[in-house]
Amino acid sequence: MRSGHDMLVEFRRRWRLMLWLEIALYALGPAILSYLIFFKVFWSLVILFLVAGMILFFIKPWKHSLENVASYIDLHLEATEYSTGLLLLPEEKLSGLARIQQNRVTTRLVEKLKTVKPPNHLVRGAIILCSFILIGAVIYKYELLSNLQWSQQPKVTPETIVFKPTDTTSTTVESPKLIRQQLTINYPNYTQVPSVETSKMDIKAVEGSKVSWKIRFDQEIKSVTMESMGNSYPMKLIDEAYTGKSILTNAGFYNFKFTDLQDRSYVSELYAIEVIKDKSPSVEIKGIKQFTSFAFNEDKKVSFTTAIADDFGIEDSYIIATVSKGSGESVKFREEKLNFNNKISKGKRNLSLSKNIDLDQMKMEPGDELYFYVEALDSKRPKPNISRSETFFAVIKDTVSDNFAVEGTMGVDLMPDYFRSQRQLIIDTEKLLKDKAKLSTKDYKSKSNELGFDQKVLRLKYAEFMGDESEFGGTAEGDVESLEHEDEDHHEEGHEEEDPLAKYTHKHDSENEHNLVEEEKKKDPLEEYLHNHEDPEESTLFTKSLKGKLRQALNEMWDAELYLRLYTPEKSLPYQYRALKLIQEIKNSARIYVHRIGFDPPPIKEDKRLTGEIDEVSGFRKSAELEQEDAYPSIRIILARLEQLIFEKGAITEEDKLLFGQAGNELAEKAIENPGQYLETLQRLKWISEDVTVPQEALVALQKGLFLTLPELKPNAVKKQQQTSEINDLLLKELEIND
Amino acid sequence: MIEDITFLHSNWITYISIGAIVLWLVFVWKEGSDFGKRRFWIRITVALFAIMSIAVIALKPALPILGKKTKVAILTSGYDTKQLDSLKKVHKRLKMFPYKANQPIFGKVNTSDTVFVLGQGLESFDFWQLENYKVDYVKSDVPSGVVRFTYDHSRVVGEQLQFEGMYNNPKKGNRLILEGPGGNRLDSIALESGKKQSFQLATHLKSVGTYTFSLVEKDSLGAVLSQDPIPVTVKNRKGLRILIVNSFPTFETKYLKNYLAEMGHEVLVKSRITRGKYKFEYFNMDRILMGTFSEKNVAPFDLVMLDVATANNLGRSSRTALTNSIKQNGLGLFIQPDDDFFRFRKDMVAFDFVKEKSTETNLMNSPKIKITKYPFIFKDQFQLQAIHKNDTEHIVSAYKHLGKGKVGTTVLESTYELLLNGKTTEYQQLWSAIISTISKKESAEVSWDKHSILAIKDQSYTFILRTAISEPEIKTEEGYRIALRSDIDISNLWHGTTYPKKPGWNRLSMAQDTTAVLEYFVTDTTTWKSKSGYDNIQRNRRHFDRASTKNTKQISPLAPINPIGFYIFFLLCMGYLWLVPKIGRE
Repeated sequence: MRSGHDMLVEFRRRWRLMLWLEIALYALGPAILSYLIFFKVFWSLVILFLVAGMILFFIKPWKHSLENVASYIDLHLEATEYSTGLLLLPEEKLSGLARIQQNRVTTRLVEKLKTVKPPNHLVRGAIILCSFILIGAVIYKYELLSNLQWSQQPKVTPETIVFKPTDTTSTTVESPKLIRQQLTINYPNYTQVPSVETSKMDIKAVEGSKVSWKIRFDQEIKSVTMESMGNSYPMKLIDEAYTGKSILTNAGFYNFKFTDLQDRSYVSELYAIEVIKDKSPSVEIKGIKQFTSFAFNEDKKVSFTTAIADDFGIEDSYIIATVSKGSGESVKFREEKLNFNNKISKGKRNLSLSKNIDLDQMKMEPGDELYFYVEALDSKRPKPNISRSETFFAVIKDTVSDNFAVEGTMGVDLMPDYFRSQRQLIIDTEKLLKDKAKLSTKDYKSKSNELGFDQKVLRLKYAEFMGDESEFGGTAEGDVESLEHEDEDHHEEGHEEEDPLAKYTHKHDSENEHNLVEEEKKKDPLEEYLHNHEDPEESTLFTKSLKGKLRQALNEMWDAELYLRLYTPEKSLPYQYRALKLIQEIKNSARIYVHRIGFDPPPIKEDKRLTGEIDEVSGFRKSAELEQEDAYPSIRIILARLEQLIFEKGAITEEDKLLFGQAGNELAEKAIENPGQYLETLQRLKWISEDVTVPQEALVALQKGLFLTLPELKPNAVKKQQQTSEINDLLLKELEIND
Repeated sequence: MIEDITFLHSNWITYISIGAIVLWLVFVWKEGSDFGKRRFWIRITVALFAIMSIAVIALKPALPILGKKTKVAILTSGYDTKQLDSLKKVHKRLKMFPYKANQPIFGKVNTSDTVFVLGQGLESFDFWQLENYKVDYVKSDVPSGVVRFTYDHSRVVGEQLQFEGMYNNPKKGNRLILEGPGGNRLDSIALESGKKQSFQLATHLKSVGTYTFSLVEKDSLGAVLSQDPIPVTVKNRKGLRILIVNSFPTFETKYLKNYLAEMGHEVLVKSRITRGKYKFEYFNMDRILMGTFSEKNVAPFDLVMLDVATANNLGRSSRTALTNSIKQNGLGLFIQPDDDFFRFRKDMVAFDFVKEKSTETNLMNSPKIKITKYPFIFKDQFQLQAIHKNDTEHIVSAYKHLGKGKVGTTVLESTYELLLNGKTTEYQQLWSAIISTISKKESAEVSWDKHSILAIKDQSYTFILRTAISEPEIKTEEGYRIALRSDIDISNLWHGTTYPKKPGWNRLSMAQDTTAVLEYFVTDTTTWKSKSGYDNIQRNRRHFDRASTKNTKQISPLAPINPIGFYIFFLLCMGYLWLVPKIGRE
């Protein structure tokens, strides 16, 4: 017979076991739920232990001592008469009565302890577990939280592998599965782009990149080939993985094909190869106008900055400068290669370079021109891409340039520039009137006077053509001297254009005028008053009116000058306008128009026509085949065949597959130029050419895609068909009789 | 009432009446002893009644059950409930029967009097069921949708497929889309609200074969409302052989020959370089000799193009040879005009022109493009067939029949300017129309005169065949032979009917000429619903309108009169005759 103590220990053991079980039930629920949601064993275990630990902390199963057990039994088993505690005490310490009671309790416990169960919440735990599992199952079934399931598996492009029609009886044999695929793209060294490893099989890389593939299967297979643009490249087996390498040159497509040990072959999807061309560097010159001109006494320096950008790195950059000296036939060029002020750091993608060019250092003289542009090279190997900027110009103005002038028959604007100065005078006068309020009386008067002087100079110029030098010669001389003096004032006041113009154009203008109205100049001033009939030029009405007009213009100028000198520019304006109008008229009348003359062949005598010697002339025959080849013969056949396949649900024969293959080649040529548009169709074509059982939808989609690729046909004449019958013939005869 | 009685055993009437009279005479003879007495007369009268009643029982009198009060309405698809209601108002005891195609309409029920047909009507193969009735067809509204359409279902590749139709009750916002095989959108039109809308959709055919285009109706949200097939057979192009003879080289010929040669036609250009010397250019063809025209050397050509100088200077034999070729072999002749052409007209076929000022025109189908022309237009006259008209409906290129062949010309000048202006397509359209029309036609051995290649599954499909073959034998794909009926007047015209079972493309082939295949498309009743409804309405109207005028006398079903009355009457008579002697003896 077991001692009462042992029985209590046994009871406690049972109790603890139940508590542990309860904890396990509580903890399992959340763990299973988390697994059903996230499919992560690790995290589920973590949750399991975490929850278990927490509940352990609350329940503390180890804490239940034998005293607790005894009091529990006392409470739940009346037969013990609240004396279970006696069992825990050693027999020796008890009184006789107590011993008797202890014995009684022991015997009762042996009988009845089994009726008492340790307190537990196993049912509750089981319910909680079940409810957790239920929730998890619902979530799993309906994918309620599918967005939370970030799948850790790399997204393997589905290599949907299909059967070739081989009569395999061993369909039970599992088809080899792809377990790993890896694509490594090694960019060319110069790009300094690190190599990329990816499981995505579509390639987009720089021209000249090295590409290598590694694919591994779960079982042994016979061979793997990579097919690309009609060629196939076998892949080598290295370290249980099939590898292949290639250097990218053109855009295109590729796919994998493998044969397993049962000689069944599988084909992968079609992947695109997109080749990016290394772009040429872009060069932009800033801080300078395209045309810069300097006066000889200026500080002739050109400074600018250049922004150069390239996609992979700039190798070098420099300035090509060309100096041209002289003009016309005696022009000479000198080319120089200049470096930038900054040192070029190779391989940088963006550079900002500056340069100062001193034209004097370039040994340029007035009249010389400098053309320059920036050339930039990128780091592409073996041949770098070169690009150049626009050409910029710097000119040192020539102070003594002789303008080349052709005779007056040229239909271009030959009129001297100072005709414009009448207009300029008007503008200045108007400006003066406008600024009257702002200016002091003294300034106003002095300006008006200056304008009057300018008007005078202009008048003198015109007077020269009239042969009036002698008339105003003395005064003009004197005035020219003072002109120099006044000139400087003008500079200060910002009337720059006027005086240098008068100065520079002097020679050239008068020379031009010579050509136009040469005669008058040499004429005796008296001639105007004579009636010289011998001179044909003089006797024309035209000349007379021209002369008269010029004279009238001079008179108007006189009056204009007068009012300017009288500080009443507003009164002078009408005269100035009239003078301008007259000058304009003279200008127009001096234009010379020349008839264009075509080639007028001499007339041929009618009777001589076609009478030449024709012995040498021989007839000739020429044959040519000009018919244009149809670029898509197979696609056209396939389209008709597809219609049959779609509506008659026939099986695809070997012959069809061949055609599909050919159509694929035709389409591929077109698809290279525009992969995005045709890739899908090409892919379908590839699939169908390998597969037997193709869903109807795929055929329809293929037909649609192929129809889109076909170009519109040109209008063409055709031979029509006609049913001939006796009645038709009779009708035609009848018609003829009627005619 | 009484005149309505008919006897079901009316063919026995003589025998029964003879028997009855004999029986009665025997009875009279039996009662002869009492002749003259009052009871004699009573007895023979009673006997007469008894015999008559038994005779009547034997003859089975019947009355037509002309249920004046039971009118019948057959409800076919798309009937108007308002029409039915007003019909019910007039005829209180209207009986209604829903119609199901190819099912007995009345079942065992016997009806009479007028039968009203409501809705889109019966299928034509069910007309026989109403043969003996007076039918009143109450026409329903035309269904909304595409009720009529036409298109050329057999075209040559590169040509335009034009689909013209009429849409009844269009709904604004909906669109009709012409979709190609596989579902490419080719052309579309937006529907406007209104009663009817005619529409035209077009596309160019790109590939040879049989294809199903489809007409799709979509609502404004893009949901497909209906999709109906448009089967088309696209045939391959056949190249032409063209001979061009010019007395001097021209730009017009140069560009034309290049275009024709590039399109794959066989072209021979003979142009005079100088007196007696010619330049021969052979495009896509072998070298052949071409001197003066003879019937033999122009025989291989489908079209001869001559400039005016060449045409006018033809020798007598050349001219005869050319004319004969045109008249007998159907050769085409095109005269390339020049200024002289309009001044002196002495050609094989005289065209009449009207002088006008303008030297520029445009064509009807491309009104924005200006083409230079000679200051003339064709005078529209008998026999002149227009090829091109300008936008003012004046003819600018035309031809005339000459025997089997055609002679054509144009008033257009320097059409190559179109090419130089970049209007390549217009140039090509212009010339392909002229050349196709005038060129020699290929005479077809067998041709299928098919108004439609759209058939409905399990319904009759009628085709017409024209062939010179004496006894054509037509077989279906499954190998069944179809009996043909020859036309009574035209011997080479044959009619045939088949009942296709397989949806999709079906083929009929000819045993004698295996190349002569008719491909037709079989669909089911779910497509082109509006059109078939509309067609049905028309058919029913035609059929029943005609039937009602003819069918004046109608035969109604008869019901035999219950003979129990006659029996009782007979028994009473016999009872009297049996009892009277006994009573009288006592």
